[in-house]
Amino acid sequence: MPLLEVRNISKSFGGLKVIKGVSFNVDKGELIGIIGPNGAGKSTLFNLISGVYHPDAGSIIFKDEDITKMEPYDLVKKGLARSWQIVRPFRNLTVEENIRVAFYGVGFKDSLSERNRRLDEILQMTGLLQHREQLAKNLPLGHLKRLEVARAVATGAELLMLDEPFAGLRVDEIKGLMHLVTVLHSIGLTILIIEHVVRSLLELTRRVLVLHEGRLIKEGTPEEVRRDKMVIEAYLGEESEVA
Amino acid sequence: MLRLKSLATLSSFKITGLILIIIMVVVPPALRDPYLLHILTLGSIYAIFAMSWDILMYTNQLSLGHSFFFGLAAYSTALFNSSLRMHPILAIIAAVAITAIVGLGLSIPFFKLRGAYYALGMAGLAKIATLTVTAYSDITGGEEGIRGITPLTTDHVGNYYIALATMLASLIFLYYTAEHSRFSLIFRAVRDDEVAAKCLGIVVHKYRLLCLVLGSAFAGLGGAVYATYLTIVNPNAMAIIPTTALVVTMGMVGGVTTIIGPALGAYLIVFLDSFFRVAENIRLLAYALTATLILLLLPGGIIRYAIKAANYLIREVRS
Repeated sequence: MPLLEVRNISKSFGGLKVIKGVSFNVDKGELIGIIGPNGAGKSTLFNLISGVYHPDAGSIIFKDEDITKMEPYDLVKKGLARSWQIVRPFRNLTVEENIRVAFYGVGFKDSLSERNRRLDEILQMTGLLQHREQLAKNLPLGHLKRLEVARAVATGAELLMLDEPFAGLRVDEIKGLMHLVTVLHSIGLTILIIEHVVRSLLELTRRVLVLHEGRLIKEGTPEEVRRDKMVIEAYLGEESEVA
Repeated sequence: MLRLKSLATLSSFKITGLILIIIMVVVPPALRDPYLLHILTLGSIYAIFAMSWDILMYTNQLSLGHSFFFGLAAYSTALFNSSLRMHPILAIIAAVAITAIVGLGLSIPFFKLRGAYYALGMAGLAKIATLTVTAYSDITGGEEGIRGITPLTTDHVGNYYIALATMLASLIFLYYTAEHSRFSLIFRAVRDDEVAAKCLGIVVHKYRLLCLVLGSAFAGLGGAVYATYLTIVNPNAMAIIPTTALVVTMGMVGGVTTIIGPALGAYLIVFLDSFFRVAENIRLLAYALTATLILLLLPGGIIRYAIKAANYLIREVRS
């Protein structure tokens, strides 16, 4: 049984059809990449799965439950968390407080000491331990991207959806974050990742979905995707470095 | 956003607060100046009102019609007391309960409104309510309002202590809730980014509702005490101008989302208003100019600078 099933979902904003009958499955423990040119509907797809928007048609099943019309705060409690393409930290909260909001949000019933232990673990894992007292508004982008991941992990998510985590980062920062994603995958998290840095994504994942103008035009291994004529025409052709 | 603890160590913060409270309890009654006591009593009542407006700001609910709750409670108190012959204390309790319930009910139509739409929605509510109380003159006394509300006491000092005690109790409750309770972190997260908070499991509307109920209840408390103190209530108590304009100015001059700041702002604005009464012709202009200058020269409100000054003084005394 797949962890997540997206069944023929569509979404329009006014007269603009942004997602057109997209279907795919995500199995537990997978690390899947989603690529596509600007305006392909990648972030809208994430917004639909995470409950920020609701699809006009189709359904979304998570852990065998229909979550199509559920609100984001209910989905988080079911084990589905996300990060944002344009970072959305709580700017006036410290790094530690940003993570604690996630603890409150999912209503952890653990003891204070257990919560503190979990907090330290997440800070350590995401490389934010030294910055725990810093206000989020004072952090550089690289740390904010990590904070996005840290907050999502803090919800105790089973499925982590990362929206362009590498965008705007330096090469060394991308490498560090790729390592973090690998670590999170290795401890059992299922990860769905949108990325524009195609080379990094194809290195990281075993399966890639390609969106183009709101449609899923290809699904396969990175190698299959690299060689697909339609994908090259629609997207990879622009990215000379991945050829 | 201004975080009080980052500006002052807790001990100096507590010391300053304690000194201020002692001064307010001891000095004005000792001076036996009825006008000073009147100004401070009004200042305390408006401080409750200003703090009630500020608690809404903790979840991004900028209300431009907060006078609705203040006026609703003032009229309810007046009607309960004059028509139903209710004891003023019972009338106050009933009026606060009514405003809290109305606040709860309003969360339904205001559920999806944000930003300017929310602010204008609230302003519209206050306008409709003001027109209504003016129109139904057989019940509300129309433009003249309702007179002869039974006061809690006729003694200046007694009135001052009632208003001060109510203000301090409101301040402690609201400050603790907004800054030190388990809600504090969530309020600040919601204020920074509602959508991100939702996606971390925060049921945002629940916390907005909590702030709206608290804001309406405490505005109601201010309005009810105001009615029993002045023994008269008229449509101005509910009107956007002057009453909402006054509370927004108090909040912004004092320092938004600090609870204590708007309370200080209320005392300052009431003092300025009475000070400029010596020049009635230019009173409004002088008052508006001073408030504008404070907003321009002291961004973040007077609370930020008051705490810095208090810290400096305490350091000097200690050294």
